[in-house]
Amino acid sequence: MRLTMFRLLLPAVLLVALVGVLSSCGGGDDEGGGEESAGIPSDFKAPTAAPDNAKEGGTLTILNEGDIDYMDPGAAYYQVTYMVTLATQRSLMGWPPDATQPVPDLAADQPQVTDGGKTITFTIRDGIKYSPPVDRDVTSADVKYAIERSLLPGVPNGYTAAYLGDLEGFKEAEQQVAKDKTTAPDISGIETPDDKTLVLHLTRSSSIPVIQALSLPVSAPVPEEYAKEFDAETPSTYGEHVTFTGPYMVKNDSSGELTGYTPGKEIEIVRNPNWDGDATGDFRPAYVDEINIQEGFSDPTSAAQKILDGDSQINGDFPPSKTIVQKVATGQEFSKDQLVAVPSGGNRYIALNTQKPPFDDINVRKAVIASSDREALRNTRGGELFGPVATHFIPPLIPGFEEAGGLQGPDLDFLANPNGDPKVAEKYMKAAGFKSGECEGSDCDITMVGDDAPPGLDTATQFKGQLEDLGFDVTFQPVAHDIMYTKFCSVPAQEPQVCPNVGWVKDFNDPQSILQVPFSGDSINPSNNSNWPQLDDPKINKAIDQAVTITDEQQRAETWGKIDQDITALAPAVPWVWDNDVLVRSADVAGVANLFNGEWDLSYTSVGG
Amino acid sequence: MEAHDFPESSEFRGRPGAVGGSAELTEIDPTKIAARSPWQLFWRRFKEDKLAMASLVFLTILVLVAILAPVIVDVVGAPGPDVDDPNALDPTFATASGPSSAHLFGVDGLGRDVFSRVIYGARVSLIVAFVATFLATIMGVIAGLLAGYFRGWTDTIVSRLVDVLLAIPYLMLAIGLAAACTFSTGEEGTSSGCLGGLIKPGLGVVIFVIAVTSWTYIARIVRGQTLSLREKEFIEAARASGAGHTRIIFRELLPNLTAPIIVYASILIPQVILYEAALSFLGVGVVDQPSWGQMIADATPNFSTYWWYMLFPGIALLMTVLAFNLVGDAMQDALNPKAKKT
Amino acid sequence: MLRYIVRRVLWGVALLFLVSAVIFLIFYVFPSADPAKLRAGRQANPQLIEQIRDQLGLSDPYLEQFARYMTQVFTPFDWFGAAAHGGTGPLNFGRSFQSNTPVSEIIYERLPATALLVAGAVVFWLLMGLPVGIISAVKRRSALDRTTMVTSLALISAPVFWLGLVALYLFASDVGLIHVFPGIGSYLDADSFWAKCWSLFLPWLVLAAATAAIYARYLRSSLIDVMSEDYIRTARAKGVSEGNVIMRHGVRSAITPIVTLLGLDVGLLLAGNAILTESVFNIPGVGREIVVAINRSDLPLIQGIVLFGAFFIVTFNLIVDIAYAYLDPRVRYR
Repeated sequence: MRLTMFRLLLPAVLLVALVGVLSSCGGGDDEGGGEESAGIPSDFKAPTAAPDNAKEGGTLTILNEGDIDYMDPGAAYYQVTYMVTLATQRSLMGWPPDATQPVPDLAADQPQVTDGGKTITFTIRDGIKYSPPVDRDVTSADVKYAIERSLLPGVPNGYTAAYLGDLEGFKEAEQQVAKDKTTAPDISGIETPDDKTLVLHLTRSSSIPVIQALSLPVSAPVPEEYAKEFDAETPSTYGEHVTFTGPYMVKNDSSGELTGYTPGKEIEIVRNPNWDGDATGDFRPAYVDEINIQEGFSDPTSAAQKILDGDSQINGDFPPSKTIVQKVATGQEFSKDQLVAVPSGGNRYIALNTQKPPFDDINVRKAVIASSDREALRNTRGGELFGPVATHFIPPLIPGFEEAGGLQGPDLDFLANPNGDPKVAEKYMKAAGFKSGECEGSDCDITMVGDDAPPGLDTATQFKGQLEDLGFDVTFQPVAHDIMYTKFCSVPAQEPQVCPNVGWVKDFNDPQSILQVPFSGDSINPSNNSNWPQLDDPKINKAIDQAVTITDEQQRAETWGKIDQDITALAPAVPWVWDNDVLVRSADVAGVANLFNGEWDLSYTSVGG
Repeated sequence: MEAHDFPESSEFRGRPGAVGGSAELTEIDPTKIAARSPWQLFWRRFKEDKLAMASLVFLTILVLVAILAPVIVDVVGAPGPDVDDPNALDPTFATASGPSSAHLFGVDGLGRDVFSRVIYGARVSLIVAFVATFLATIMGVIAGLLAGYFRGWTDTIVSRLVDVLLAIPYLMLAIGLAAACTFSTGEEGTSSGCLGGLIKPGLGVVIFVIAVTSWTYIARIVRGQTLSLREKEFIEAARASGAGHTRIIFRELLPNLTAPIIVYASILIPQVILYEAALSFLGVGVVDQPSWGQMIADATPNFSTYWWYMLFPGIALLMTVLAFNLVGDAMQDALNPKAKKT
Repeated sequence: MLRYIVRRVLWGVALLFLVSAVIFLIFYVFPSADPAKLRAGRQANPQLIEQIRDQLGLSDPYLEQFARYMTQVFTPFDWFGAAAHGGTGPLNFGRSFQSNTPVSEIIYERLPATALLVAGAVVFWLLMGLPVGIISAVKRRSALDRTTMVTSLALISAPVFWLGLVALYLFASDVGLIHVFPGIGSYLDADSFWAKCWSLFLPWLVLAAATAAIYARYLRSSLIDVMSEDYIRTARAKGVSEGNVIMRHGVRSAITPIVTLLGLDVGLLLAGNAILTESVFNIPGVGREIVVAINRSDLPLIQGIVLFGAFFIVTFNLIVDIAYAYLDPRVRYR
């Protein structure tokens, strides 16, 4: 009963939200109003601005289960690592907590785009200095080096080739690096006419994704004379000697070696003495004096309890367990506002391997999607606070979301009912040639490789049952998360029929970063593949390739929205949630969440309140 | 199980008197009026232990429950062990509900009936217990017999092998073996298993791993027994009358070893059950079927709220292992009534 | 006697060697994942993976890798390319594939937690188990005896991780019914030695419970055996008080197997059998580390921890054997 009531409420909330979003278009001045369109009740909306009476000073402690992926900004590619990089590095473009579009950070102003979107000119701000011991001013050559070093095999960057590959001279640079692995190549398309100017020449008009990509840590400046010796090694050891430009830095010694980083254990972050936010126009207030990330908390219930009970703590890479969420959200033990939800900007789906029977038949795929109870899948992660049931792939708050159908989704019968529709499933199974409406024959023996720990394990187990209802005989092999990717799901030759625990988080606020890598046939890669359904539809591939170069924002949203609908109609995967990051804080923490990576923002959060 | 409660050390040292003393069985007082067979005496002594008899009854019922699991679940009116009941989950927070009229023991995080899963879980525990113990016993008996009878190089090799295996912390060995067998590359996501595909992940791997790490217990005991038996006169007599090794082993030694083998195997069973529970708890045990250890593992993140699915499988484990322990104890007492005065 | 010790020590070293071979076989020959890939990270390109594979020497024949590992652990020499692939030894267990930290460092860091856990548990189980065993033996067949024996059997029959959860449910200060002892993860928080001890109170009790029961039963049966010996009767006949008979003569003899058992148990626990307790209570010890390492296919870490554990087991076995040989000369001439 409560469920149906909420469902009636939802469209009403949606209407209000739509009005809210439409009336405050342009971004930057909402008080996180866009969050309503993600279905988050107002009680649990994450604050995206610091309170007026935010206190300076104090130590903030972050509890983590695991570690960041890389300390090296050239390799960092993980929302939790971004918590650190957003506070310690200034990329060309940056993300204040409530921004829906990137804002100039290292750059003095919005870049100038000329030549029909093929030339981008940045001006670097004056007076930005590296942390000790490097101590010198940042120049444009440092940004050029930062981008070029990300091509080195020793700097395992996962996105430069995808998003900056349109730079002139990129291919030549890749060949250069294949011959000499120890020196960063020269990309001729990046010019530095003077110390403060950076000019990028592209081979086609993909300026929008390029500028967005430059908001990622890869454009955080790296001093070549300091980093060269570390980059000559493979893997590069710059990660143990990083230098910083943000308000905070990781503790280091006089030679620059990071003493504050013990992998797997803790990260000690202190203020960067060379940072002057006022003089360099930094939007970050930087209230706390010290930040400590402690790793190893593998029990989300007790860790969340500790944060809620304690002082000056917040959670990092794990959500509180469902029982804790229930306790807090119903006001049983703690104050309700100690829990907030923020859209992660990502989706989760169950990939169906389109290159293997029986899922090479679109009717079988549609049947599977139709029969799956996606709400039950979402509930394995938690209730409604953990995100709305997904109906396509672009998540809320990203341009193209509404154009693809918004929360309701495109008009497809197999996705119409979030609890599944057995009749539609039967119809498609029959269309596939299974007269009984259920799977028959040897093709029905399928394998699924998923997570061996909750909540992924629960989702996979739930889905297994749903598949079995349709007559499939499922062998489920749970393995460790990393192994699931590196050995099975991301290796096309080894990929089973179903990979249930996959998903994609946006790289930046443009729909290209949600759809290109996961669904374009051109991005299928034999050893590290993220197009898990192995979808290779020539029409979609072409549409994606062309949409990259659209320079009009409105047109981009419409075109990518249409691509999302077309992809969804091909039924390559079961989209089941656009998940929210659920964050908890101690009572004395005035937490501010950043909409870009869906985590607490360390430069805006304060303690002692 | 953390501590190592196999009474091994005394066996290993070869301390006289601590090793079962099967001699008792062959030297029965011939002046007794009604000569009873060793088995009858054994049973008589066993029956005296009331707790053990009660345990035996309990275990019989448990075996029946395991076999008739679907029937029982039906009769009680509970849904099957893999059936998710979305109505049992809180609509807003998707949290599980506790014992209620619809679900006797409550539901787990996915909405599955805990009572059902506990009943079906008995199957896994019992299958692993019996099969793994059986395999370990066979392996142990063969190894121990050969080592004890032939001595010399055979004994050296077997004893050294046992030493090596015992030097590796058995849980680590088990987890490692289980991981190796589960993750070896097969085609397209399937595991090729161990021993050329014979051992498949899941129940197979668990039984294999437990058997491989537990046979040493039986091997040592059998070796000790064989060593002391082979010096007895009846063996010498058999040899003098020209009996070959095979005959001696099968006709003379084995029958005298049967009783202690059975007793020690029955002492091994509860250890194996706990062992399987531990492996399941650590995530390398049985995954695709309800298993008590795995249910407790599932319950761990939320045990303070979802007490029901931590409690009931645990109690089931406790009672089963306790019952086996009581039976094993009584069997051991019945075997050597003189050595242990209670 | 000396010959016996030397023989046993040599065999101990050989054992360690053989254990390494077995571990190597299991984890290198049947690896659960590609360690080079895992080390390279999620978005590594094939070149980086190959480079790492070379650096770690993973493309060399297994025998060579094994020989190199043995050289690095036991000797200071640069054989089999030791210096080029991780440096020379001795006691060089390599570096973790995941974090590139030296394995020995990781082990030394986690050992204190396990050691403290085991030490405290030993104290408790001796304090709880021995008196119970003695009293039960003395008052055998009484109701007290029967109850304690069944209770201890029950404690042995309960899985230790379940006992831990039940204990936490009842007594944890954060989530328990009665707020008494620190709960899960409190060890990670604890700064001082005493805070750490306090956070380990429940783990100590839980780990000790089952073992205490075992020791109680063992001591009981051992003491009963001893008490029926002739020299006990003689002592009583000589007029020695019953208390002295029990403690000075009875327990003294009966305690020998307990001491050997204690040695073996401590060795086993330090070697990582405390995994279950460490997992439940979230104690950053050696046992937990290996579960994580196995999941990640972090071969050097796995190898290092198991070898270290084997070292403890072998050493404690050795101590126990030598002590036993000292007490019972017959054993030496086997």
